Amino acid sequence: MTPPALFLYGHTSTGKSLVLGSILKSSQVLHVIVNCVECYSQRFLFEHVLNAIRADGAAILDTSTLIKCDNMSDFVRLLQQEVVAKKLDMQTVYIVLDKAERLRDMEQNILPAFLRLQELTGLNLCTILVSEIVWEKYRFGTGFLEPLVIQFPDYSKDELVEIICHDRPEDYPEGFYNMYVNLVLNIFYYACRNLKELRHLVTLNFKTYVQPINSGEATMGDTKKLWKHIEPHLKKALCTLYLREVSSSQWERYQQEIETADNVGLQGLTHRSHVELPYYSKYLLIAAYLASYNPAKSDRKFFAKNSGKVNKKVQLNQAKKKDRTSNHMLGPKPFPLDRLLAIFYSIVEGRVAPTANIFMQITSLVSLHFLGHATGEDQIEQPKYKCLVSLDFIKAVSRTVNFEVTRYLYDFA
Amino acid sequence: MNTAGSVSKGCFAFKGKKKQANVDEYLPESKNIAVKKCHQRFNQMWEEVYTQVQILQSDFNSNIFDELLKFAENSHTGFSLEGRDTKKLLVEIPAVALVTGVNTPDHSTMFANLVSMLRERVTPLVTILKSKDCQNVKSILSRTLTQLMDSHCVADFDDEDEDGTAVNTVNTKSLPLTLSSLAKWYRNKFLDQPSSPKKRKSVDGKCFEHKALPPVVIVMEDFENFLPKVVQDFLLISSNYISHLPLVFIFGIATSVSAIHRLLPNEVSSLLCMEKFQAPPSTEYLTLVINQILMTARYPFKLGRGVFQLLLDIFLYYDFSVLNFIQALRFTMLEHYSSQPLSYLCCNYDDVQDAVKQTDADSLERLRQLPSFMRYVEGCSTKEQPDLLLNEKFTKERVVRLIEDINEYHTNFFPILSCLHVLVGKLPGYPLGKQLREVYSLCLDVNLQENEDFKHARDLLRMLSKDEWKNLLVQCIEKHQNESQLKDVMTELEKFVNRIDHIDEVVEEEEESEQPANDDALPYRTSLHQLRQKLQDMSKKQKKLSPYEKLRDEIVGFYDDLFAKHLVCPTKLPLHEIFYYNSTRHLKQRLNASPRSSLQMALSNPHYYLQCQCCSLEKSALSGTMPDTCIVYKLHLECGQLINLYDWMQAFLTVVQPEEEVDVKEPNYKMQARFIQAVSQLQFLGFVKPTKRKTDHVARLTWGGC
Repeated sequence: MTPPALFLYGHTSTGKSLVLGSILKSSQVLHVIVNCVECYSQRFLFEHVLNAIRADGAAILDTSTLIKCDNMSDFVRLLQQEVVAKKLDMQTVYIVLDKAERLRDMEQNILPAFLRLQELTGLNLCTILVSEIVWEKYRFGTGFLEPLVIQFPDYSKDELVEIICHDRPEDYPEGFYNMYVNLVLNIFYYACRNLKELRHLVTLNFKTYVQPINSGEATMGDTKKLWKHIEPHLKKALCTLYLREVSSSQWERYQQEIETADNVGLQGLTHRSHVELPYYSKYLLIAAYLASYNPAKSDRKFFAKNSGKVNKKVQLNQAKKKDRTSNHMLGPKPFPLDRLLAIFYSIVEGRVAPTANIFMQITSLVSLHFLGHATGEDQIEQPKYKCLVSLDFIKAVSRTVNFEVTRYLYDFA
Repeated sequence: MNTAGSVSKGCFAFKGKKKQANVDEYLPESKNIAVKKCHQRFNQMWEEVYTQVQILQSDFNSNIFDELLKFAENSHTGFSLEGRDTKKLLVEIPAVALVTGVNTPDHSTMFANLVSMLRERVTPLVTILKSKDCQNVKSILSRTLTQLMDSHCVADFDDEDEDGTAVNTVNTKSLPLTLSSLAKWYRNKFLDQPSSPKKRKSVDGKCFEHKALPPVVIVMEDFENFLPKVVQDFLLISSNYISHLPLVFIFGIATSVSAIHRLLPNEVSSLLCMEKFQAPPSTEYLTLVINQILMTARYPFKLGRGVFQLLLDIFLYYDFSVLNFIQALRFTMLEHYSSQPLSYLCCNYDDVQDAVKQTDADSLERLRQLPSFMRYVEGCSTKEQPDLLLNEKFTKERVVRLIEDINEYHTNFFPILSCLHVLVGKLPGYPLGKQLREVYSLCLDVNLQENEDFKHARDLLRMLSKDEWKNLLVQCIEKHQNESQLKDVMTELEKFVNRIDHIDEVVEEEEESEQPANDDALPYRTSLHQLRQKLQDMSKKQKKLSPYEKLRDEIVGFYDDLFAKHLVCPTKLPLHEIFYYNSTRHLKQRLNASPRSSLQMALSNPHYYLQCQCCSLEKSALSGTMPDTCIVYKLHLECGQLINLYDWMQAFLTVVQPEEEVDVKEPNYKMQARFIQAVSQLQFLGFVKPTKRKTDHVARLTWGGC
């Protein structure tokens, strides 16, 4: 008898699905693979398994023969029927649940029931869970059957090199490519051990690496020269690691641009977060930032007309301020709409009528996720907001309107 | 089958006839022929403007769209349903990050254009998703599936037999909502068909070939607003099917690419192979619209200074939305044609003759009373004046001539204006502004010669070097090479360029001849004051002008004359009221409404809206004749953060009831009801709200008192 449940876990790209898939395929046993991300309802999960067993892998488009099933007991019953009808009771049927951690978010009974499916149906079944987190994190609720746990360890550096070397383009010798992969790994290994990401980087930068060879400046033996050539590129790539904002073809275009005119390509990468806003939106955003990061008590100090006289209390406060935590460490605080508008009117230049357009701007800032709605009891009478942009962003915005934002910030003033 | 005749006792909803606004009901004196004529003219003119706008729009984004389409087309070149490439394990989903800018109102048109272009040129399988329809994975899948399967059935209706489409539509209804069913559908659809590429005729007659396996394009219009969880799951699911379905994603991003990373963790974003496209900023589009529609002689309708500035301000200060700008322009036109009874004369140049001919006596009288026309009559000779005021035929001829003059003025105005812009656009400090529209707005206001900034700019122009001047002149000439009416101006400019080139060869001979004239100027005896004056004059004269400086003065003088002749302020022209709309206040109230201040106005000064006799008081005064809400509002202004309801009601009663009738012991229920109603109205308007901090109190939501 096969064990009723298996649990495979390991980090991303450690070969779980690949190993499992090829074993199941090569041993030619009946199996169903379900990606749990797809199961937005339990019904989908049940029907997928049942229909896959009935169809045995072939595509069904005839909707009349599809099995309908929306609860666990039906599923157990129908599963028995199907397996018996197909005369599969002699061999083991494997149900593979990929991304099994999603099962925890579904109805309480699903995970225990799948673990005990062999017991419930009395069939020769095996449930295989594939996940990225450890089994201990699954233990809540009752009725679990402990599965057989198999861990997939991370690849070591040498293993990584060996795997990546399989991507070698055919016209380059193995030793040469091996060296190149080692170079890239030396730079990136401390920041990233994800095989997928590393493979992406290796293929991305290979063209730059061999460029001197293609142009005839160096031969394959000129390791030092090639290293000199590739090093700055890799350092730059380290800054945008994981971002994937550009495809490989666009990356190459950027590289070319950098070679022709040094600034153009760099601008494309460094000015990633630059956004052009309408004039009053800028001030609204600045006002929101100030309201979020200044305590409401300090508004009088920054914005009142007669802020000249400083009474003792304030001075005391300022003395105390040093031991208090910076507001920027604590994150943005919610503020009411009134306060936002009051600050807005005191910092904006010229007289601005409180028109419908101004209020519309606030809403559109929310929809752009520069501001966030803070949840409160009354959303209509006294809506509260939070400013969601960073200090650097607000500094850049205020520079465009010649407003010194740091002078008005409690943490810096 | 007629469902209404069914025997079951169901409730049937019928789509009512769509009510269309009837123009006659809205126009005040629709019987009046002039009003009708104005309306027709408006429709005609707007039609012309609008077609131009649409042309501009499709041209504007064409560059970026072309690249994008190419990307979508080529992203799945090696795709096939048969042999799955086992070697290419690492498959990423091609995705486009289209950075569109923050002008969100414009985006729907932009994306509609994009989608229709995609359908036409790349693939029939395009779906567009909006965040408001996709709150969970199920809805996002159902949206995608229905749009893809249905649209394709509909699109192919003409080249497939009816049976085929019927089967397809039936299938889509009952299929489980997963991408796997889409993949199967796709396989059935495109694998069984003969592999010859399908030909599809687009509207403009071009033939685009769809590939045998067209990519499936999924456009997400407002990417920032999607729920992170939903997008993540959707992308994870999609990546499982990438070997069965040639998917391409297009993310519309309003802010910056970093929004993607806010939504997607590395686990998901590493599945994508992204390419970034930056749409040109909307300010450029606006400049295009203004240049092509407002600053051209083609469309007779023009905006006055204030209105032009207002529309620009709304754009630059509030929303960056060109769509709103165009709507505002449309509104302005409508306002102009409906408020100015003579505006039917504001038409294309070819129709002027007819329009004037049809003018009846009433309109003609109205025309004679236009301030600008009266001014013109006063300027005419005494012999003409009676004819202009009394003789119908004579006046009509003269009106035609005046309108022709205005038309000619416009045709000359804009080229010369751009000359001026070339000259002043790069001066230090930008005395007249950087943009062409700023210079234009200046010219609309006053005559250029009276403007201080222009004088300053002229002084600056007098200090430019030889090379700079030559550059400016060449630019002017290049800009207007093909304007026939300015030929003599251009030849003049070319002469100047020529002279600048040969300035070094000019011999300085004239100066000696001038020199002796100065000597005898000092008389023998003068007062101290006179002497000083004289000496000052002489020192000025003695500054020798080099030939280049002379030439420069000559050029500046030439330009000065040119501007004085052509860049006349339009408000100085006779009959300008017909072409220029200038009622800023009116427009501001409608386009840039301020609900808060009008609410406060209504509450503190009800006379302003009610126009009744009783309430015309000072602003802060109270009287019992005002509406209850106003009284309650004014009383609440005197309170602090929390208001005691009982005190408030007592104050209310003293205002409303004359003193002798007040009977404290017996509560007046009617008065209480009135008071409570007024308070709840204030609550509805957002001035107070109930509070739990203190019993029988309400909290104020506004600051300040009267």
